[in-house]
Amino acid sequence: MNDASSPLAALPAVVARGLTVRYPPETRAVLSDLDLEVMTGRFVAILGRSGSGKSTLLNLLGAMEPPQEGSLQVAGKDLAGLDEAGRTLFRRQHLGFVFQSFNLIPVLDVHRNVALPLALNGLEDGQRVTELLAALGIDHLAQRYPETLSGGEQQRVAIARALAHRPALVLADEPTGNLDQETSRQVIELMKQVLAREGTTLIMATHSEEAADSAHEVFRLTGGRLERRP
Amino acid sequence: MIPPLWKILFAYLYRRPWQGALGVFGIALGIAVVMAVQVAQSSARRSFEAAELTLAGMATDRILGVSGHLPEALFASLCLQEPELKASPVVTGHVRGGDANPRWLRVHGLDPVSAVGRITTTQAADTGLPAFLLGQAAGVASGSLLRSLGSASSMPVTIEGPGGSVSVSLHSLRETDANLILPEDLIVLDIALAQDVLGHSGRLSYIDLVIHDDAQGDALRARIRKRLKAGFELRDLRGDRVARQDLGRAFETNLTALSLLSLMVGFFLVYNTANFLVVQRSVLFSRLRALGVRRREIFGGILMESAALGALGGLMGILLGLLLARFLLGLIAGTVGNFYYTVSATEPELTVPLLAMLWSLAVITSLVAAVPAAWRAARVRRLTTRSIAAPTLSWRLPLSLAGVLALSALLFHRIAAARLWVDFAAMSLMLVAVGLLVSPLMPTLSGMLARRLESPRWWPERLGAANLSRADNRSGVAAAALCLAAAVSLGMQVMTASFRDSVDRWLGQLLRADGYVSAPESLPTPLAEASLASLYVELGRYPLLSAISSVLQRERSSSLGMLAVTAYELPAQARDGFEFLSGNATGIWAHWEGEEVFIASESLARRHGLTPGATVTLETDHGAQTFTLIGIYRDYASERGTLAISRQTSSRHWQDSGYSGLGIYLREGDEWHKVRDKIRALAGEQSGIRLRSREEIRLLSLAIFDRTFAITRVLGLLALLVSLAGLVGALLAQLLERGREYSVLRALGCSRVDLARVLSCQTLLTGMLAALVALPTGATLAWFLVRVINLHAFGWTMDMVFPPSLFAGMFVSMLAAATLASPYPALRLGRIAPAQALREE
Repeated sequence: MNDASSPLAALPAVVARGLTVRYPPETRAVLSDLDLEVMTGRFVAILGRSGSGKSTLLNLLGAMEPPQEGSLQVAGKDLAGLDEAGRTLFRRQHLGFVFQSFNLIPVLDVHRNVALPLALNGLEDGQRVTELLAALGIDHLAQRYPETLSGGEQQRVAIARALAHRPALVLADEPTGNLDQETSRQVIELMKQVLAREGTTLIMATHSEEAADSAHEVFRLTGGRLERRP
Repeated sequence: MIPPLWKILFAYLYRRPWQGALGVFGIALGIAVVMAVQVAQSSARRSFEAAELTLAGMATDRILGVSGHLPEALFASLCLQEPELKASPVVTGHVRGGDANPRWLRVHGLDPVSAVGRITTTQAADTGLPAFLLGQAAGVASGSLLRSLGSASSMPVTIEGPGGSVSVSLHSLRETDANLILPEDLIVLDIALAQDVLGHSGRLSYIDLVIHDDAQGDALRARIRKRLKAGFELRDLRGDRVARQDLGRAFETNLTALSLLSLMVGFFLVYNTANFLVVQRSVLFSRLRALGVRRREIFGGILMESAALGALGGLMGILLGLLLARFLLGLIAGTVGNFYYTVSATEPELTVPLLAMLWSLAVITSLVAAVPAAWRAARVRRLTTRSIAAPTLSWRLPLSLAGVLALSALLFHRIAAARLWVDFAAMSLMLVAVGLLVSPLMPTLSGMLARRLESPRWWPERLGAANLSRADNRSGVAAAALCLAAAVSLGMQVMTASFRDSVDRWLGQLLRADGYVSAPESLPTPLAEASLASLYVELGRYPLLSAISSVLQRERSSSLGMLAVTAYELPAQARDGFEFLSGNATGIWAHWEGEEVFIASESLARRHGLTPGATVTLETDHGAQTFTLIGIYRDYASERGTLAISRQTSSRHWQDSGYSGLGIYLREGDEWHKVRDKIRALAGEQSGIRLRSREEIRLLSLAIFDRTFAITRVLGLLALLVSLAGLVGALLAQLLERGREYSVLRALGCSRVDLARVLSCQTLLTGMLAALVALPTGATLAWFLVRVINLHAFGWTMDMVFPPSLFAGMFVSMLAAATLASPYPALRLGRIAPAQALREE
């Protein structure tokens, strides 16, 4: 788990060198010799069309799959050296996720959904959950269940869940893909504010140029490589 | 042409085969159990009926001598007086047969010319009838008897009877003909040859008659009765046959009811599948409605889909049932053979009507189970974007239905009490009512539990409980199925335990003697009775015994039909062994020996509605004699029941010198094993008599009891297995439906062990909640089985016992079953990749 005042703040949150991924291994590379360095606390957007490899890159950064080739350090940890259990523990402690379809757990109310990453780490911090819900303007929804919320409300709950355990890195995959334009703008703005306050690094994969405009840095993923957008 | 809607529905199932698999699986297992029991029962019954038909042919009546014999001249005079009468003389007895290992065999001597529809006329070509007609020493036996004698067909076998020995050429029956079955210990000979070997020259055992069931037939019966002198009787065979089969049918009804339970569990699984297929496709149905599809088309489409699943499940069930039937046939034949009639069937018999009936049952069950779901699907609104609420959420409907069913059960039972099928129908209605309550109970209770598990350490358990609290969780119906199976299994176990306890206490009271003597089972009854009679005389001279009791069992013709009549010689100690349910013991024993009175076992009294003061007329050696009932006693020896009289009373009316069994009462201080050795020496080492202590008899009786109920335990276990399969299926279906949720949990850092904990908690809670309902339901069911069903089926009352170990055992079994349900789904769950949460975006 991250803290804005921790020594991690002075380090790059992500360092990727020569990442190459093929599905299956002998076919054309989805990611090819990809390099990326993201400093802690930055908001980075990765633009790309469908099938460009955005999700593959997020899988690697999110420690869901080990890198096939190249090296990858996230929050100072070499992910290539972790086995499946190690990667699970790493995700639990250092990463937060925001998904396009929100993916809240339907049987848990809003409060418990947000508290889930804390519970996974054996922590109970009702104060932290309440603060996050207030910061995202949804504290009045704490006892509600996901199916009773609008898309924008669900995504705010998902952002709160991603931040609850103070992760070093939050990965967002098309977080505004299921929202209308106005709600998308509000959610991105809110996410940016809260993440800045928490000092958390955010990498967002999107195909929306407008959503990417809010980021500190924008990369375009084409031909398996990242190019910085001017 | 297939309607487009059906194509859409089937395309959905084709792309998601696992969705329908649970329903197919449930109905297949249910049908398999029903089929196995039906096939095994009908095979055993058919074996009995075929054996009866082979020996008795089409005979409707029988002329018997009260003393056991008829003069041959009676047959001749009957034929002269009634030239149109179809009559056939028969001689029966026992011989020793086999050259290598001689054994006792029963002999039926038939007249090949006058035999009425027996093997001799129907199997002339295959069974050696020409040899009979030529007067050669030939006979017919089953193939298995010939094999056991080490003889090939038509090879000579030496048989030895009271009249001498003779070498007989035995022919085997054509074994492929299922309509002709001979018991394994029986040979059929020409009547003259049988009379010679058995030493019955000039005597017959009985005369079989074929008399039409009309006015002329009644007149003929009246004429024959008029001509018969005292000591002879005309007996209606059809009534006896029906009575004997009725006894077996009570046992069969119990088994059928148990097997239908498995189908009921399968019904719940189909109901579950149909509901979830509708919930999942509610958006599709709303779009179809918007496109102009009518409600009744959707309703019909869902029913059609369920019927197709049922048809497939029915076929699978029939195949599975065939395998199961082979296993059950042995168990059923064993029990039936112990108590009702001898069966020799070893292969299950399949008939087209039975298969058609089972397949139709599968389709109809599936159709009925899908009606509520189809109704919901037809009522879905046009163009909704939300899934319709799952049916398990509401308490109102299940409660109302359960109430109606329970009330119907009660009314049903009050209106038509004392009929076995009504009892079972009422019991089934009550069970369905309980099953309906389990589904809504599950979310309520698990939701309460989830709210109490606040500690972060227990988050997987909280999530598991929260999963069960969802209205659309599949486990609700699976829990209902598990609950029903467990409740019935427990009910049967408690009933069996109560029965066993009653039998044990009854044996404890009844068995007052220190030891009991019986003749070897291989010995023919007359010889066995005679050998015990001579031992009785020897023991009378033996100075070291305190007392001897004796028993003689006979089948006697009465005003109530054929009855088992037992003549007891009871010293004072033995009389304490009778527990009277009606009548005063002191008064009963005062009249017991000197007057024409009898006591009746409870089942006999119930079967014929006898109360003290009732009279029964028995055919005696001196003509009809009326006896008065003075007491009803507890007796679990036979569900048919016994009419008991004193030996002294018996001797006044029948000339019977034999004994079926003796009871030995030792003097104080004497030891059984020492006296036993002396009695054995007294009887002679070659006599083969059996001497068993009171405790040995008790243990032997309980062992037979346990064997009898083995089949019910197996069926209870099968029902539990079906419900366990349902639980596994429900979990797997849930994984399919909620794969995304689990992959999100994995992405958030939830380990495989955590997910296994979520699933284990779900299944354990399912088991516990099902147990919570199953245990009291099982106890209620046991009460119903003991106080209502057993009373109506067998005529026995018994005390109830509720052994805590049975309840604890069932609770643990249900938890174990629930635990067993989770490993495979957990393994599948562990394979869910966390990346799936992103990939499917």
